[in-house]
Amino acid sequence: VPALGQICIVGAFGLALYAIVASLAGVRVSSRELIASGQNAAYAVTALITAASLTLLAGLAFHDFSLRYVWEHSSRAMSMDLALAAFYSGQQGSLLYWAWTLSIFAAIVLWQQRKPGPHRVFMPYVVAVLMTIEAFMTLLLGFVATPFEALPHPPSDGVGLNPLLYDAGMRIHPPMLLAGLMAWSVPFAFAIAALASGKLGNEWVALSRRYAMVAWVILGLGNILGAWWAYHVLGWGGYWGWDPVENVALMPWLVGTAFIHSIQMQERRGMLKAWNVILILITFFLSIFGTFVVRSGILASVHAFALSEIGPFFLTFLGAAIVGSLGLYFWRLPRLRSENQLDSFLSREASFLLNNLLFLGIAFAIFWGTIYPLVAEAIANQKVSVGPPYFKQVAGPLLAAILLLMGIGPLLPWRRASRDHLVHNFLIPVSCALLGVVLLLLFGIDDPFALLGFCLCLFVLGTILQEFTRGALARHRATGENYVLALGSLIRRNNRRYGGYLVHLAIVLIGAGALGSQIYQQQTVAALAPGQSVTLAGYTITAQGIQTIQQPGVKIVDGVLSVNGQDLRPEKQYFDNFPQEPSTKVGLRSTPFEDLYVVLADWTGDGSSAQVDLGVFVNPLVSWIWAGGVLLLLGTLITMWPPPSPARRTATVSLPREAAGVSA
Amino acid sequence: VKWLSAAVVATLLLLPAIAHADSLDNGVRRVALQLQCPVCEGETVADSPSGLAADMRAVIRTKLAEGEADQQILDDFVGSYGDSILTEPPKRGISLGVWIGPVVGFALGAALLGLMLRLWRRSSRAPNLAPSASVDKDVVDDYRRFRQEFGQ
Repeated sequence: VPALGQICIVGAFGLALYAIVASLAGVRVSSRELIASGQNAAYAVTALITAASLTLLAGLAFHDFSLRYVWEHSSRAMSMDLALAAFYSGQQGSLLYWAWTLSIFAAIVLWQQRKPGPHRVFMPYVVAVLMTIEAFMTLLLGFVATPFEALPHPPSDGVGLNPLLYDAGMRIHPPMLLAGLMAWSVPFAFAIAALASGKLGNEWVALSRRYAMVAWVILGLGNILGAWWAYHVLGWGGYWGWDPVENVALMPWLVGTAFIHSIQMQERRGMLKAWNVILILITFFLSIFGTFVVRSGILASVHAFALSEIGPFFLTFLGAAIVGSLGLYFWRLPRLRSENQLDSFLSREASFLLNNLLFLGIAFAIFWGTIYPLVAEAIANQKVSVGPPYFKQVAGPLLAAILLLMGIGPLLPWRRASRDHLVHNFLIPVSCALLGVVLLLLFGIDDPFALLGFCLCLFVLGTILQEFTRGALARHRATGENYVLALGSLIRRNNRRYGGYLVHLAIVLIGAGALGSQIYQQQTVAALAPGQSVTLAGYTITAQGIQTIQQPGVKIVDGVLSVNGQDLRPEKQYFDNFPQEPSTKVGLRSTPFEDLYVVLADWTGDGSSAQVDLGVFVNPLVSWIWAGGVLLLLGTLITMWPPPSPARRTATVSLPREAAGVSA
Repeated sequence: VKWLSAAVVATLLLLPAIAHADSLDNGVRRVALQLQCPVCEGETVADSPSGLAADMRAVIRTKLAEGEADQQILDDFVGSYGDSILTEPPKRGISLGVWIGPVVGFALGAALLGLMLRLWRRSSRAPNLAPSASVDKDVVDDYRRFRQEFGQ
């Protein structure tokens, strides 16, 4: 079995190389057969890597400890779903997972773009780029870090999984995040294809946009799920620690956000063509950098469970990618001329430029803070630690500026805003924000940062609600549809615009949740003998000792508590394989407005007479962050939904869709 | 407009009045959050489960109870562990660089953007005789926006 997986991977490496050569040679000699052959090779790579992945999954499912990877990362006591999750918990497995997702993305793109059309000119290059990344991955998998290393004398049981990873979040956060990082390869491939083919119009942008949205939402959700996992499992009362691995996964998402806004400038006004290419290049470089940091363990991190020697390979690949793409870029730069000029500083265009500056500014600040310990070590041989206060102070003002811009941008027209226009559009959102501040003050919210933050959130909320209301009212007047139906068809017909507003609303929810929980968190610690209580923010927690439950492979210790008369049980779990590294399960009571978050830190004694040490937190508005995550997914799906009624679109192909569908 | 503000008011009324609570525990956490756990990777003294962090929290608690100021306690820890014990890099020595970086980066970005805008504005004042490829598209966009604003 190990040999089978290995053969698949080496075969995939060979075929990926063939696909690159065939595609590029096919373009050179204008041979359709060669180009088609390159694409078929790419499909075959997908099939081979899928076979290799299934081999490893089967090894994990059937506890085949003759595979070193299976032995190192799973054990017989693990349930089937956890054993399968071990697939991406170690270094070789996660590399294979990356190669697998990339090959699947490649196959999907090839399938979606199989029909003849102007986009076909990009496809050989897209194949070449994606297969270059695939060849790099399979090179590592086949010859440097293979998941199919055999053990000559298979042990009877495996080592098992890192206890931190025994959690529902483990089954979904890492695969989402890793796939999200890899997914940026596709829009990057289209950008490179545009540069290489010299077709630098709007076609590549339109193609890239769809795939960039996919990468954006997968990576965004991967990050939010990571926060959710940390909140439930790590037990320090928070969800985002500005840990290097968190940061490197956030940076490509930030620059990617700048990209999906900035390409609208090119689609609508033919501007920023050169800049958009740069943005997607940076996003891709940061994704590879993220992959490198996650897998090399070069930066101290709570995620450092996968240290490795493959770091130098990643660094070399990243360097080659940067040199290669920038070379191509500067060669084509003369063709990347803007068609239009900026008409006014008070315009949608200007707001997008500011958006780019802010997103890149945050990404750079985070990048700098993340790598600075390495820089300081290298140039001065001094240890520097850069913790959360740095990131909060540096990113905070920029994030506030982005919130402000999120309220202003959508209300500015393209080209130039008039004074009447400004009054007409800004009256309601600004009143909304001012009224909000007064109310917040009345409620005793007097922290200046909280006031400013919530005020900005309300401003954006006002903007979004105004846009939805005006649109729906206008539609109601024009078509006589009732309000609900009018709102529905408004979103259906302008899905990009209103889906985008829903995503903005999601960001407002996440922002408000972060503000509430950062500024108004309350915390206490208590050592309680049975019958004793501690009170925090209206919650009275009474201890009733502990309860120990022995399950196969794991001993669970429950702190038995009652909160205002109801049961709550924070846990510590001791896995037999890692008795020194207990994992935490937080006792959580969640309401829409605040979470009671109880951690069982320690205990003395046994059974119902034990004394428990508790960490107690009250975290306001945290559930808004998770709600924001759901809305983010929903809004993005709406923006990506295909436009309505293809039949009518083809019938009225010469007219813009909205104009043609007026009387409908 | 009225019902809109009414909705906002209603939402806000639901927000519970959240007030600060200050106690010795919060003080310990406040100080411990500013200290990096020396034996862990990427965790603060407040959050680390290690024994050393627990000892450090006990030291902080004793000192706070004795009436020492936060800064005094932090300075004591810096005295024994060096600057890298602080989660917030101090604005001195080698750590200053981490603070300067983003400021310089942002200023450069803003300057570049400003320069580009100036160039754009200048060339847009020059007569543009060649018809722009997206002129038609602009007309359509304006029309589309008009329809969206004033009924479809």
